[in-house]
Amino acid sequence: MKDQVNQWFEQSVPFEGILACGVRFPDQTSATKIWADGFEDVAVENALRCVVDGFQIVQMNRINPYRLRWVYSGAFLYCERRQDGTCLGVFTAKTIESTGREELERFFGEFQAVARGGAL
Amino acid sequence: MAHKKKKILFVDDDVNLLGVLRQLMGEYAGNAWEILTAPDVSKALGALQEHRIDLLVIDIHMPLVDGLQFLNLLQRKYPNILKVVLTGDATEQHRATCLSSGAEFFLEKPRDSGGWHSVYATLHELTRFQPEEGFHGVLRRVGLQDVLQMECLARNSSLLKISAGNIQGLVYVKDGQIIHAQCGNRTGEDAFNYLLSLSGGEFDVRPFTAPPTQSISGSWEFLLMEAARKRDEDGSPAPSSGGTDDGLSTPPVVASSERNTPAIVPVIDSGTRIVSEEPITPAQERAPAEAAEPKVDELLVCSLQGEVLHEWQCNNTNGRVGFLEFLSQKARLLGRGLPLGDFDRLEIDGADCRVVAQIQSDIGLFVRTSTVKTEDPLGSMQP
Repeated sequence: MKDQVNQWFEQSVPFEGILACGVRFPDQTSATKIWADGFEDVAVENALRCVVDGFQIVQMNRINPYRLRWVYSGAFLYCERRQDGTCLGVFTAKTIESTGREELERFFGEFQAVARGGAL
Repeated sequence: MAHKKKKILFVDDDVNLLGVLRQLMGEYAGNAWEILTAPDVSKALGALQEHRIDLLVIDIHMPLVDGLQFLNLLQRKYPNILKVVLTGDATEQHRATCLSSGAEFFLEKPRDSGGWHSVYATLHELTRFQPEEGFHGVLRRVGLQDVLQMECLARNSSLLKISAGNIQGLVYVKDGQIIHAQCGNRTGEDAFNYLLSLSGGEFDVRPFTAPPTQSISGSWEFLLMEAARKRDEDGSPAPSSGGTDDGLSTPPVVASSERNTPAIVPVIDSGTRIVSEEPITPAQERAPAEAAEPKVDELLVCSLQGEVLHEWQCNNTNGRVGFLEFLSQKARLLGRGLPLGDFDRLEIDGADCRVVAQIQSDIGLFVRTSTVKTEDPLGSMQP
């Protein structure tokens, strides 16, 4: 499963509004991709660790999350988690809702479907 | 010729200091000043409505709404009132922030009587300059939101008259709750969201008068957050001050089709136990937003020190407070080393609910809503 997600992630292409993204696996390893200035692998990996913690604390509050969106003054961080525990975090510009929403949905759709038998 | 007394309002959460100030400044000023004091922003706003204040002297660190937030509000709501910050925490960062937020002077609280006399002399000189009568505000996206927030926090009753070009709107606030809004043919939340999406204009805070009807019943926290969320989610320009309002077309910022609707992944029962899981398909992924309306199920406002300030239907208060404390720390940690700007909120889309957790200064807000389908609820779920 990890190899397949990794392969999908490596082959993924940027779309309008995306700044950086990363995937964190249940074995606590991660992979990142960066397109915007100011983002560094180490910082994105750190953010992904926080995202995983965020999903856990949300579930502890008896909320079953489908998607998290961290809203900052300069960017969004969209996050989803697969049933196997793999997390995907996507940093986007705040214009994403009007310029790249469909691409973003497709990206998350692929993430959820990979290695699950779903069509990509 | 008799001089009119200047009205000086000191705002500080240290009531002992307020007593000292009243006595010391009273001695220095003689009959020249009428000294008023307020231990918090809410009471200060009340005093501002009751009196024509000539000079405000504000502390920075106060609970609930701090001096910096208060300054920002004053700059918009009472731009002509003279404002001075008097603080024991005189850092360069605070100094720069206060002066850029409209404070005339940034003074450090003295430790001896000589120092207090210098403070008095500075304030006295300042009061010799008379500002113009009346005021006007510049409406910006954040500005109007701030004013409404402060009116609600202070539990005020007021009428906000908003104008931008040919657009005229009214927002009625009664006892800290937003009860009605109208703009052209729009009323209720539609009008409210439209007015908050304006990119510029003017506003005037007037004494409360009864609205023709009460069209809004939701909590003000949720209303403001929804308005902010809709603005964030829309990348198209907001209606400009030069525009016209025909009262028919919906502005882009409130287009419901842009709403971020939760996808249906797990199907859970009322006890939040997972009873089945269904794979999502693109057709299932989004229910039509126009067929669903959010219903507030739970609301909590707390300080990040753990003090519950307001809660409604919250059945796990400690858990929610802990969550907000966690979020406050984690959001800062998450953004470390990344060009994200300031954290505002976390939005959680769940299977049957939506949660918005917002952190501002020392205040945390937790709102959980569920989606109430208003038409064809089953049809939207079909593949």
